[in-house]
Amino acid sequence: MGVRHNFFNNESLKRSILISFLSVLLTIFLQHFCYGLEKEEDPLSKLARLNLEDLMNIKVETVYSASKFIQKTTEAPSHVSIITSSDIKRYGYRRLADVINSVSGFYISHDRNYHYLGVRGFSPPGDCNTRILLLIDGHRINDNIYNTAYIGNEFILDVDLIDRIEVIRGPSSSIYGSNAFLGIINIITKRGKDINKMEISAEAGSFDTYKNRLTFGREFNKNMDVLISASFFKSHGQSLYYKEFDNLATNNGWADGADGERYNSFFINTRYRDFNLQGAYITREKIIPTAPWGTEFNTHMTNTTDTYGYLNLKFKKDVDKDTSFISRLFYNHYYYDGNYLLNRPPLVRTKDQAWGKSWGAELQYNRRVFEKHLIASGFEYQDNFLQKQRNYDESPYVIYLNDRRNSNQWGIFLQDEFTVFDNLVLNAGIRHDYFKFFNGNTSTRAALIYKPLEKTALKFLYGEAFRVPNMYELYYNDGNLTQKANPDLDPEKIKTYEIVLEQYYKNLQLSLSGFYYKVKNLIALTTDASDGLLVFRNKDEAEAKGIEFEVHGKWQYNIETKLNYTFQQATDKNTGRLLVNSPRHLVKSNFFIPIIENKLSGGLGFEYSGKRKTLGGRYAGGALITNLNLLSQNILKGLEISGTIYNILDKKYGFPASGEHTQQVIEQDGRCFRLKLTCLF
Amino acid sequence: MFIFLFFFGGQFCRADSQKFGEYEVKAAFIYNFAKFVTWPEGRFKGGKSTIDLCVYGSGFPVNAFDYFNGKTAQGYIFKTKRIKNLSNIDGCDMLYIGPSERYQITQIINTIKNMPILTIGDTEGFAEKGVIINLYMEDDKVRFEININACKKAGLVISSQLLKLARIIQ
Repeated sequence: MGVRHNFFNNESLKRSILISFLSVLLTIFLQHFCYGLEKEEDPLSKLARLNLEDLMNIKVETVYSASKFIQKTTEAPSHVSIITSSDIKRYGYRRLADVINSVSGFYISHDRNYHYLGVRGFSPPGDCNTRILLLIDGHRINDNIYNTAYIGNEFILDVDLIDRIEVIRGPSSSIYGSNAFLGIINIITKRGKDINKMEISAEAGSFDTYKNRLTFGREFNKNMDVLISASFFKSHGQSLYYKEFDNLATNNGWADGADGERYNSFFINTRYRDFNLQGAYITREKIIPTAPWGTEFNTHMTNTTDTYGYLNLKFKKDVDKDTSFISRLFYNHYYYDGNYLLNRPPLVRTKDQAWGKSWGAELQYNRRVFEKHLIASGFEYQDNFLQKQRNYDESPYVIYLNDRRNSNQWGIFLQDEFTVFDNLVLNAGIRHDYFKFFNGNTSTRAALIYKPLEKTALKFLYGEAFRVPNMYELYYNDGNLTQKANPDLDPEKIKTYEIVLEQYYKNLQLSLSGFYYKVKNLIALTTDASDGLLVFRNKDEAEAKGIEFEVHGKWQYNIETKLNYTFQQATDKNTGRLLVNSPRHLVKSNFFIPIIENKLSGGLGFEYSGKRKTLGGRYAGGALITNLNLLSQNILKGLEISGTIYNILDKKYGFPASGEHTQQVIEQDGRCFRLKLTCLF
Repeated sequence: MFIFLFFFGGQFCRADSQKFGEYEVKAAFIYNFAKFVTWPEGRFKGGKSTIDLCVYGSGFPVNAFDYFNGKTAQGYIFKTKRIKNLSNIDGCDMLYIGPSERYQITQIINTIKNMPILTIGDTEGFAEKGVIINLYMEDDKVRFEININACKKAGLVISSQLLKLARIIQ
């Protein structure tokens, strides 16, 4: 299979031209900056020149999500990465999945409908991204039917509205409960004052892709801040070739006009004194070109629409310097509408639908006691008052599934950060969760953070987490034609051990970690040998071990470089075999190079993921993907222009497909581009 | 190619610039304070040409000050030195007290008493206990509070430009 394109034809020629062109370009940049502009100053002297007013506007790196209060990253009880809005601009990231793919240890897959996330070697095909908890300003985004962390275009927030992203590796169930299994991603949104009046942004990209965004934001006075934004996206998509369908009856393997996508999303973020009201909404439709679940090939009639919205009212009060209090009230709405064109025969449109509605509340209380203890405690309640799944044929009308339920859950947690000595911190937490369908579950986490030297931190981390099966895994069946339900599923559990060394050396920030993760009762889609039906089962144990290394450098003339490498081995503990869709090697590297100070910059990203095993036991080859972004700011006042080429080398690569696909591997986009203009008023 | 660039790209650009972290920013603040404080008359008589910042206690990377060492403030040279005990603070015009001293802070303030020394900290509660300027974090940004009474006792005058940016502790 392949994507139609028409740049160069000779594969090796174009590759060598591009490689040499890029090398020369970069070398010239670097030499030019170092020898050509000898008088250019380094960042510290800039710091020295700033007056106090300017200094008061400089942001310092801290992290919130790891233990629900603000900490320096070296003191967080986890291995943390932070991505900021300027990184999103610098490298031309289009969606959350692009951002996460640049983070060390994380990798993505894409089946031309949804994006999936993997970390520590776990990303089993067929899973709905349930093992990562996705939060927006602390609000849980995983829905209450599939528990999915949406990271593709279906993610509720336009990436342009992200202020920063905290990626926390390892379990956090002791703070956040279910789904905080392999890690959490907390998105901190922009506020009105970050926009300051009005922004209009327009994008155009390959395959007739367009996006527009209109954002209004303003801080009216110290008490009140408002941001309102709307985004509209539309893509015609590509004609895609699948060799598995290459015969006369199925258009010789070409799916034409079956890759379209569109979404509309809205976001409002307001603050009045200690109150913060946030609302978000997205509806996103995607045509599926891959003909999954035995549907007809080459049709736009097979498509899915995901609609998600939430309201979150937060009250945060710092009672005194040692005590703070947060309470939240929220409402979530999720609706999934899937259309599948099946030839039973006759040709019918099967509707697959889900509704999820919930409301909930959270209380959190932080207090410093006996000078050396910082205690965080909290209670969370969620009422899933609608969890409904339906599956039926339209005409002739046959209903296969109509499952309507409700459930509730609550959790209570306590965490203590104990400063034993000035250079030794013990962080321990415990949380108990209750679910209507399951027994209670208790998770603990402990971290010992030792700073033998001023610029060295050593973290010893132990964590436990769990994930309750979602409604889909428990109750979905299509009338026992291909898939049956399993209400007897147990929660999955994980125990993890990790050692992290963080070291600052001159202009470099280094981190090295080793990890061992062990999962029990892993839930996976399997085929029941007795009746041939697909069913979710608690499989035996799986384990992952590996090492991760990252070096982040800030150089003269604001050049920034980042390189990370992960080696991981995730295996089924019984058979000793490598898990499916689990690359052993991941390498990512970023270069940010200012070309004209504050006006023009280049962002170059490399992402390598090693070969991954497919469900059929074959391999999807490893691939090095190169992206280049040029960003121009301040050339005309208030105008930002960026041009990005993705997959410059037009590398052919694909990801292992999940069981509902005929394909073993789903091929990804070749070279494509995007041009983006943003006007600030 | 990228591995090559990563390692050799840096070589081209001699690695002498520093990371821009919390302590660098705080150090910049402390250096700036030297520009807005008037010491009692006579303090700089007799050929003293430096404003001396002494660093006492741990918890603050002293090399964060390296860059500001030797820069000028009010015509004097800003100099930093680490001191191990409080017996030789006569030569200090400014004294940074690290978070490690939070249980001894009242004693330290009593030792300094009414000496014309600008005391500085970055630990919660220090200003209330008599440290003149205390840095703190808010929204990931560095802020500072000033204890006016402690300042008067030390006989120092802080410029109104500085006062208007500070949270005032009475």
